[in-house]
Amino acid sequence: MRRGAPLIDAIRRRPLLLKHLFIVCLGCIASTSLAVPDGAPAHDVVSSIPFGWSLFGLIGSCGLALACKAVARRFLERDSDYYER
Amino acid sequence: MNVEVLLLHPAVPFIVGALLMPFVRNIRLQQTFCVVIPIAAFVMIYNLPASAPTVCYLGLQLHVLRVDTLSFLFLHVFCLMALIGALYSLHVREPDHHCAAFLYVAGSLGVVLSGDYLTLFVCWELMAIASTLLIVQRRTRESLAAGFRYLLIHVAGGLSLFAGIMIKYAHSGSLSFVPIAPAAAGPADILIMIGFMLNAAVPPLHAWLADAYPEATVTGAVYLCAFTTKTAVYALCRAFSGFEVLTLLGAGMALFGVCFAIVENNIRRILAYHIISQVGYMVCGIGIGTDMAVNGACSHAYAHIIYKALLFMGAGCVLEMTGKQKLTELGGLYRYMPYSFLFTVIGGISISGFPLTSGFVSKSMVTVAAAEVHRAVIFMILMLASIGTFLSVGIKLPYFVWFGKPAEVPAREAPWNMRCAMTLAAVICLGIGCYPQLLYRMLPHPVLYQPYTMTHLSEALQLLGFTGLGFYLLAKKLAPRDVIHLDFDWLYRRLARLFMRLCRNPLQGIDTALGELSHRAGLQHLMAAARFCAGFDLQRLDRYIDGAARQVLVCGERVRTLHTGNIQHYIGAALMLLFLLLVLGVFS
Repeated sequence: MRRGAPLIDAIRRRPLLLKHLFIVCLGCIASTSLAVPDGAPAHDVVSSIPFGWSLFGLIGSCGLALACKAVARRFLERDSDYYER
Repeated sequence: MNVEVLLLHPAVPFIVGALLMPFVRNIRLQQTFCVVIPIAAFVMIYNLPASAPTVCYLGLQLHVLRVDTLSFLFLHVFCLMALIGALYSLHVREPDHHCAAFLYVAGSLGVVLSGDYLTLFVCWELMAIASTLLIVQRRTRESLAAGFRYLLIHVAGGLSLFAGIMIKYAHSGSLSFVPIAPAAAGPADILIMIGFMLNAAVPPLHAWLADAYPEATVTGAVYLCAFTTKTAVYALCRAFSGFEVLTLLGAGMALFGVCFAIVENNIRRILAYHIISQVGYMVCGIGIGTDMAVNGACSHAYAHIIYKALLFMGAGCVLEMTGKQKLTELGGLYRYMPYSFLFTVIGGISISGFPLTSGFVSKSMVTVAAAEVHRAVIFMILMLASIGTFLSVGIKLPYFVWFGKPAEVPAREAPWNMRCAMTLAAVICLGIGCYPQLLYRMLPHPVLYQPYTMTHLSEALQLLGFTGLGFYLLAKKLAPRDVIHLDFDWLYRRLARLFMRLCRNPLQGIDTALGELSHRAGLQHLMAAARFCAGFDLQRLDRYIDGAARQVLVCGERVRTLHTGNIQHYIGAALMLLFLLLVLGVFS
C-alpha cells in the first residue's frame, strides 16, 4: 500500500534547490577546518593541511569507488548462477 | 557440582525457554516467553555475584561465572540485543526458531562469563550449532548449502580451539582463560587465537560470514549479526590484547570489508561485509592494546551490535515485505515503508560515524588510539575505511533501496513488532550518540576521551560531507550490477568440488580396478583353494571321521549283544578278568 512521505516527495520535486543546499552545506563544512583552534591536537598530517579532511574525503571516496569497481569488474565479477553451473 | 552457582547464570532463562518453547502452542504465551526471558536475564546480570565460587566437574575447577567490567559490558549488550531480536521475531510462529535463538544467546552469555577454556569451548560449540539452525531454518536450497558450509568452517575453527586448549592443558595443567602476554605466546595460544579469529571473520578466515548471513532467516540474521563475531571480539580482548598481528589484520579487514561492500548487490551481503569491516576496527583496537584502544574496541562492539542489528532489521523488513534483497531489484520503497526507511537511515548514519550517533562516539576512540601511539598508516587506513563505510552503507544502500528507480515490487510497511524493535535500536543509537557517558561508564578502563571537540566534529563532517560529494559525482559508476563477486569462499568451494571430483574419478576408478583385480586374480585362486579344502574335507577327513563313527557303532552293537541279563555270567566274567589281571601281575 502506498502511504507516501510528503516531505521527501516535496524535496525531490526541487532537485536544483537540493543541489544548492548541498553545495552550501559542503562550503560550511569545509570552512569548519579553518575554525579549528590552532592549539587543538592534530593526529596526523591531514589535519595540518587546510581543508585536509575535505580533500581526503573527496579523493578517498572517488579513489576507493573507482578502484573497487575496476578490480571487481576485472577479477571478481561472475554471473549470478556461477556456483550452480 | 555446585548447582546454586549455575542457577545464577543469565543463560539459564534462555536454556529453560528453549526447552519449554516446543511445548508452548499458544501464540500469545509464546510471545510472552520471548519478551520475558531476555528481561529476566537482563535483571539477572545486575544481580551477579562479584566473585562466584568455582564449580568442580570431573576433577576440574570450572569458573562459569566470572564477572568484571569487560564481561558485564558484553553481557549488557547481549541481553539488550536478545530483547531486540525477540521483539523483532514476535510474529514468528515456529518454536524451533525461538529455541535456536535462545540457545544461541545462552551460548554467547556462557562464553562471556566463562573463566576457563572448557566452559568457553562448550558454549562456543553450542553457539555454532544454534547459529547453523538459524541459517538452515530458512529452508531454501541455498540456505541449506550455506548452513552446511558454515557448520563445516566452524567445526574446523572449533577443532583449532580445542587442539590449542588440550596442548595448553598438557603443558601448563591449567584451563584458566586469562590474558596472554604477546612474548609468552606458544603454539597452543596461536591455535586458540586462530579459533577466535575464525569467529571474528578475520581474513582469510572470513568468507563464511558473507556466504551464510545473507541466506539466514530474516529474524535469524538479526541474531547472527550480533553474537558470533562479538563473542570472538570479547575472547580476543580477554586473552590477546596487545598482539601486533591483530593490529595489522584489523586494519586490513576494516578496509577489505568496505571494498567488497562498495561493489556488492545483495543488501544483506553488503551488511555482512560491513560486519567484517567494523569488527576490523575492534580487532585493530585490541591489537594496539592501550587502555584507550581497548575501550574503543569494547565501545565500538557495543555500538556496532545495536546499529548493525538495526540495519539488518531494516534489510529484513525489505526482504520480508518484498521478497527481494538485491539492489538491482529494489528502489523507491520510501513511499511504502517510511518507518523502515527512517530506521535504516539512522543505522546507516550511525555506522558511518555521524555526530549525535553511537558510531561517532565509539569508532573515533579506536582511530584516535591508533594516532596516539603514532601508527599513522593504521590511522589513515581506518579513516579510509570510514569513507568506504559511508559510501556503501550510508549512501549507496539507502539510495538504491529507498530512492533510485522505483521497482515494480509489491510492498507495505513491516509489522508492528518489527517497527517496535527497530525503534528501540534506533533510540539506543541516538541515545549513546547524544549521551556517550551512558556507554563510557561501562567500559573496562577509565575514559579520558571527549568525542565532541571542534577538531573531531570538523574532521567527521568534512570526511562525510565530501564523501557524499564523491558519491554524487560517481553515482552512475556505483550503480549495482546483477552479478556475484568471488571471495575466499571460492577457494573452499573449489577445493570441495576438487575433493568430490577426486572421490568420483581417480579414487572410485582405483576402487573398481582393485575390485576387478581381486575378482580375477585373487578370487579365482581363493575359490580353487576353497574347492580343494572342501574336497579334502569331504574325501579325507569325513571318511576317517565317518569310518571311526561306524566302527564305534559296530563295536557298540557287539557289546550290546554280550549283555545277557544273567548275573552268573557277569560274576563269571568278572572272576575271569580278575584271574587274568592276577596272572599278568605274577608274570610281569
